[in-house]
Amino acid sequence: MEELLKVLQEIRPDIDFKTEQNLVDDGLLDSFDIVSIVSELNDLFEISIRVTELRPENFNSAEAIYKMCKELQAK
Amino acid sequence: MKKIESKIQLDELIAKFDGQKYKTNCFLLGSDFDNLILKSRLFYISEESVLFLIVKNEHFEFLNFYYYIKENAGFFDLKNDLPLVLELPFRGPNPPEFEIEFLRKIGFKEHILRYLMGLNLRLIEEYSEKNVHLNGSRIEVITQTELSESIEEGIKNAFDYYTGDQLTKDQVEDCIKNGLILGVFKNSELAGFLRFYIKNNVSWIGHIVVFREFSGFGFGNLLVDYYLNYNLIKGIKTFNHWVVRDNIVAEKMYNKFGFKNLNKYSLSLIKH
Repeated sequence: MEELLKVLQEIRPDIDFKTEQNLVDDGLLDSFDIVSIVSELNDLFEISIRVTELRPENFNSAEAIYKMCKELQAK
Repeated sequence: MKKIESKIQLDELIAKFDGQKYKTNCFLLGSDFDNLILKSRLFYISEESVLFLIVKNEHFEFLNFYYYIKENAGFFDLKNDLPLVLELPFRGPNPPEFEIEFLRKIGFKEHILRYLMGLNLRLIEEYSEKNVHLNGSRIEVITQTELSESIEEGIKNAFDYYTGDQLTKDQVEDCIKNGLILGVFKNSELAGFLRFYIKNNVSWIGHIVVFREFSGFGFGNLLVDYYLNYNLIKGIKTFNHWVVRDNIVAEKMYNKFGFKNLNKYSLSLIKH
């Protein structure tokens, strides 16, 4: 989780990823950010995030992102 | 160019990039793809080191272009009947060299560079208007659909055909019906307008136009001021929009309201 937070913070240093729970719904992250994040997550977790996973609810919080990555790793 | 029939097919096409270094300009989300597939607007060209996704425009004569390219991708002989238009988003200020070089090789030319300006008023309870209404002018949400032709024409004349989000008359009428166009009137004549839309609690300026014969009266400022206040009352506190680089007048105006460059750029490229 710490590594994930570090990656997220590098992409958007202006957001407090530890507390925000509505990153997409509140417009803090846009699709441009999500694509940047996906690319980093693929490398960090050695996974392939597919188009079908690119849903707002998977990116609304650091916890949701982490959960999605862990589930993909387990597949 | 083949049609994509399902999101599973799309995933399979993208899967060949798994575990490889690649570049993409595809910033569409799952729900965007759902709509495009449903409307039979999504097509692809797939070769060993590239995947091109091509979206048919519903109303205008060009195609939107998205790429996935492996880092070892060489020349690709891309043929097209209609202009191909792409947006390359990047964090500024310099565009990614590898992608630009590849795109030039396959026939694209740089078109317009824009950057994102944003204003976050999450901590502000009340917004105080910065302008005083000018004598003889009034500003309001446009409700008269008979103005749609003037608005459509205004957008056509002020914004780029390929990348300026042109609207048909019907689309303008829909915006009017949904209360998404603010107009400034001078002696009852439409002097300018601002079209906006709201996505995920962020309000975006789609178009802002002051007609030539009314420029110099400060109507642009008036529109932005009214727009911010109007949306804040509705609880919207984040405002974004794209500005063409080197549009000093627009930049100065937005800076005055507190908008800042968010360091997100988008370079459009076109292949005729």
